[in-house]
Order: sequence, then C-alpha cells, then structure tokens
Amino acid sequence: MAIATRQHRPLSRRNVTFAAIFVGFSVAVGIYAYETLKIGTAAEMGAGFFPVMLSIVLGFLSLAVAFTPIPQGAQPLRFAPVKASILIMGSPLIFAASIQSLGLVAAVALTIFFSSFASRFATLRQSLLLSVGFTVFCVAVFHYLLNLPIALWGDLITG
Amino acid sequence: MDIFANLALGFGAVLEPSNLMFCFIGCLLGTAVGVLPGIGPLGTIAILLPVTFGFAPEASMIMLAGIYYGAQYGGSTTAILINLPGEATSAVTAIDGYQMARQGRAGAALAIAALGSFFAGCVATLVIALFALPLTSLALSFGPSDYFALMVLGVVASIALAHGSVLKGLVMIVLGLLLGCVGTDVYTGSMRLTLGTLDLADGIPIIAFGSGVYAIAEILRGLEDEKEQERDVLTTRVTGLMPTWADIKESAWPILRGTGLGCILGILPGGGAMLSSFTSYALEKKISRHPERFGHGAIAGVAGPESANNAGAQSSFIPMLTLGIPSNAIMALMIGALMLQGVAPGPNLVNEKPVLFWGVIVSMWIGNLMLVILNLPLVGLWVKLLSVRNHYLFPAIIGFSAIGVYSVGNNPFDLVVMAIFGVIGYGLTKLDCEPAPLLLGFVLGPLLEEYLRRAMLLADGNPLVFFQRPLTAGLLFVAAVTLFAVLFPAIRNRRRVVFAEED
Repeated sequence: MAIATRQHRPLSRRNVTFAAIFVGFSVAVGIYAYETLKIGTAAEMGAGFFPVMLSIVLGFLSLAVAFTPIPQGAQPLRFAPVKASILIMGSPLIFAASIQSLGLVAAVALTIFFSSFASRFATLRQSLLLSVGFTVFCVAVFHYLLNLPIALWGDLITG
Repeated sequence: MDIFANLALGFGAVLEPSNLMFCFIGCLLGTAVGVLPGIGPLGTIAILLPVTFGFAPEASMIMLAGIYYGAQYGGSTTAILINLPGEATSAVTAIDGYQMARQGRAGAALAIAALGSFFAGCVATLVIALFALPLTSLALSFGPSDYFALMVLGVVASIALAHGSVLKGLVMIVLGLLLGCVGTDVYTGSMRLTLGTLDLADGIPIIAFGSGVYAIAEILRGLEDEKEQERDVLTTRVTGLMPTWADIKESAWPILRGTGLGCILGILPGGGAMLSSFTSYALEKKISRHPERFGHGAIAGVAGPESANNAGAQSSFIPMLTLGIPSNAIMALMIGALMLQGVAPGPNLVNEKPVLFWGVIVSMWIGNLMLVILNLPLVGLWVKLLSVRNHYLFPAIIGFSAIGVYSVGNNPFDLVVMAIFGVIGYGLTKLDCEPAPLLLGFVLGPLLEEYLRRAMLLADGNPLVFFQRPLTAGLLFVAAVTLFAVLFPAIRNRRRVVFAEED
C-alpha cells in the first residue's frame, strides 16, 4: 500500500523548483561559511559554527519539500508584467543612484515618476502631477517636520 | 500599590504633550495605511518604522504601538465595509461584519468593534501591568539554555499556528536565522557572509529587508492583474453609529470572552492577534444559541473576534517586553526598532528604562482611547481613502519606503538591499512561502545563536545540557510534540487525499 502511494504521488513542479533553489543556496552558503570562517568546538563555537549548522539543516529541510505534493487550492502561477516588475524593482535603485548626487527633491520625484509607469493606467500628465505633489508632501514631512538630515539638493546641483 | 505607582510613572511619560502627539500621529497614520486594502499591520509597521526612527526611544515606541493598533483597527474597518480584510486577523471580522454592513448596520458593526477593542485594551493593559513584574523576575532566573528552548518553542508554535505548509514555514525560519548571521560576529569580531563588502558589516539592515519583502513584493502582487476595478465600496453613508441596546446586550458576553481569550492566547509564543480572533469566532459560534445566524450578520461574530484580536495584540507585548523574545513577526519588528534605538529588550528593561517600559504599557491604553475617539467620527474619511486608485497609491508607498530606508543610515546601499529583498520576497510568494516567519527568524537568529553559544560554553560543550535542566527539557519537549502534531496529521491527510483520488 505504502509503495503504491509513493508511486502515485505526483511530484509538484513548483516544490521541486523550490527544493532545487534552496538546496543550491544552502550548499553555497554552507561552503562559503565553512571556507571563510572558523568552526571552533561545541564548547567554544567559532563564527562559522552556527551558519554552517543552519545551512545543513536548511539543505535537508528544503530537500524534503521536493517530496511534498502541492497544497490544495494553490493559486495558479501568475507574474506581474515584465515592464512593471523592472520598474518597481528598479525604483529603489533609481533613488539610490540619485540621492547623493541630486538630493532628496530630485530623487523622490524621479523615483515616483518612473515607478508610476508600472501601472497600465499611467499617463504622462498624471505621473508628473503625482510626482510633483508627492515630492512636496515628502519634503514637507521628512525635511521640515521630522528634520531628517538628508540634503534637499545634492552635490551635483549645489556644486 | 506598586502597580499604581508604576502606572503613574507610565502616565507621566505618555501624558507629556509631545508623546501624546506621537501616540495620536501613530494611530492616525496607522489607521490611514492600515485601511488601504492589502496592507496589514505588519506591512504598515514596515513602511512607517523609519518615520519613528528619528525620535527618542520612548516617543518612537509609543508611536509604533499607536501605529500597530491603528493599523489593526484600519484593517477591521475595511473588513466590515468592503469585505477586504487587510490581513488575516480581521478575516473573521469580515464574515459577519460585511453582512451587517450590507444590511445597513455598518455603523453598529464599526461601533461595536471599536468599543469591544477598547474594553479589551483596558483589560489587557491591566493584565500586562499585573504580570509584567512577576514575569520579569521569573525571566531573570532563566539560564541561557532555557532561553534557547523558549525561542525554539516560540518558533515552532508560530509555524504550527500559521496557515500554509509547515515544512515551508520551517524553511523560511531557518533561512531567516541564516540571514540573521550576516555581519560582524559579536564573539570573535570576524566578518560573516558579508560577500566582502563593508556595507554588510552591521548585518542586513532590517528596515530595508522589511520594506523589500513587504512593500515591493506586495506592490508587485497588486500589479499582476490590474484592471479598472470598481471596488464594492458601500456607497450609502455610514449612519447610525450608536449601537442599539439590544446590540450591546448581545455583544457584552462575546466581548468579555474574547478579551479573556485574547489575553491568554496573546502571551503564548507564536500566539497573538490572529490566533485569538480565530479562536474567539469558533467559540462564539459553538456556544451561541443561534449558530445559524453566524455568517449572516451576527453581531457576536464581530464583537468577540475584534475584542480578542485587540487583547491578543496587546498581551503579545508581554514576552517582548519582559523576555526580549518576539512572539510573532510584528513583535520582531518592534524589537528591531528598539535595537536600532540602542535599547536591548529583555528582563533588565524594566529596571534600566522604567519610563520606557511603563510608558509603552500606558500608551496602549491611551492609544485605544484615541482610536475610539478618532475612528468613529472619521469613518467617512477612511471610506474615502478606500476609493483611492491603486495606481496613485503604490508610487507613493515606494517613495515613502525609499526615504525611510535611506534615512536610517544615509547609505544608498540599503536601497539596493531593499530592491534585492523585493525580488526575493516576490519570488517566495510564488513558491507559496509566507514572509512572516522569515522576518521572525531574521530577528531571532542572533539571539538564538548567542544563547546557544553561552549554554554550550557553560556546559563545556556537552549537548546534554538541553536535557538536564528540567525547564529547558520541558520546553523542548513541548516544541517537539507540537512539531510532530502538526507535521503528521498533514502527512496523513495528504495520504488520504491521494487514496481518494485513486478510488
């Protein structure tokens, strides 16, 4: 009976992918930690003891996931549109690239402006309005109200 | 008598005009963000945490507590008005609350939810004040191995009580623990898993981590299936806020029972608001004389769970304040916030920072009072917020989070971390994983490791120490039993499903 179950249990592709990614990750981290850090002894653990132990546990747990069937009622796999994904994931990077050179005002405006195009309904006019309005709001809140030490204008502008 | 002196100390701190204002702003902001569909208390706190960062520890904790209750209350408002619970805690409120709203009794549902929460908040505040000190002195007698076992139990319980796959929950926790290792090792000073960059010397910045996993990933999920949605916002004005006498009579016992349940379940590791509200709904339905009314607008189905989740939300502060152990992901973020402020939560907190400790406890009560005053008259405003289109909203959330993440360390690298964790968080949801245990593991990692190392050092490397101390062994035993109890029925059920398909 047990054998029959095992044969008929379909492996879930999503769970096998999960296991493959996680086992790969834990092996990589485990080796990285083992190579770069001292393991020490059980009584005097080195910096590497806990990370290596965790990556071994993580590896085995992830391996076990491969053999579990997909949960019932799982949502069919759907992803956000490519353009939206790139814009949303990239928007913190836009902020990172511009905050020191251009300053708070330009960084917020650019971040909002570009990220707003992730929506299908964005129009140029709306995005401009949104970014200007929200920038004013943010400067008022963060700069004047909360007194955060972030320069309004960056090195490139003030010279 | 001691309690009153302590509470007076707390009131002294909270009633300072500036702190009162922080509490107010926290409640207001928390409700405003919590009302937005799809963003629960955890997301709200992750987004707003940086705002509180610039203030003194007392002010920032008081504000965070306000944000937390506000977010939770905002979630109930959306649950009742548009059947869209912000997160799982208010999912049960939506069942009967939305039905009441459709019958034109939205006002009564909102008022009972607010009053029930307020009552629960008052009781829970007293419970915390009563039990905090005894628990703290008990906690001081704990050894490192006891702490280790307690955290293991907390982690196991939080997975066992969450929905979703237990195994994947475990994987998320361990991944979180591993991510928590990144940075400088406290004992040896060596750099761990930093990929050679100094930017990670202090570890992965928690706010960047949280914003990435919650803000970015949630926004992407919202963009998957974007259409011109007309949300089912009740167009009729919310009228008749005052519940009738019959409503109050019908809700009184559910509120009392919900409060009791919440106070107890909130203290349990892994417990908190969600478990409390689910249990309360099940209990009310079971003992009701009219169980058939549940699901069709039974006011007890709003009163009980709402009181329970508020009581649970508050009493989950107990393990955090007295032991320094977060019992759920929200408390994990709170601990993160405290640590950023240079305050180490734990049994010594009450002696070292009595004003902070009692101030936070009293602010819970004040926060609840403010919510009652704030939310009932402002319901109209919150309803308006609901009709804001998503595509105006998400760029604002990104902008807000970006400034917040940057403001913590003025380091652009933190935003790169945010983007990376956005990708990771989104990928994990596609693999049916929950981000909450990841966050919990991330915060617990360094604590767990520290206690493990200390316990092993004291025991001279003998792992038997975890079985010799009765308290440690007992806690670990309970953890093991819990784990088996949740793993094995799952396997059996799956087997049954497979067999059923074969037939």
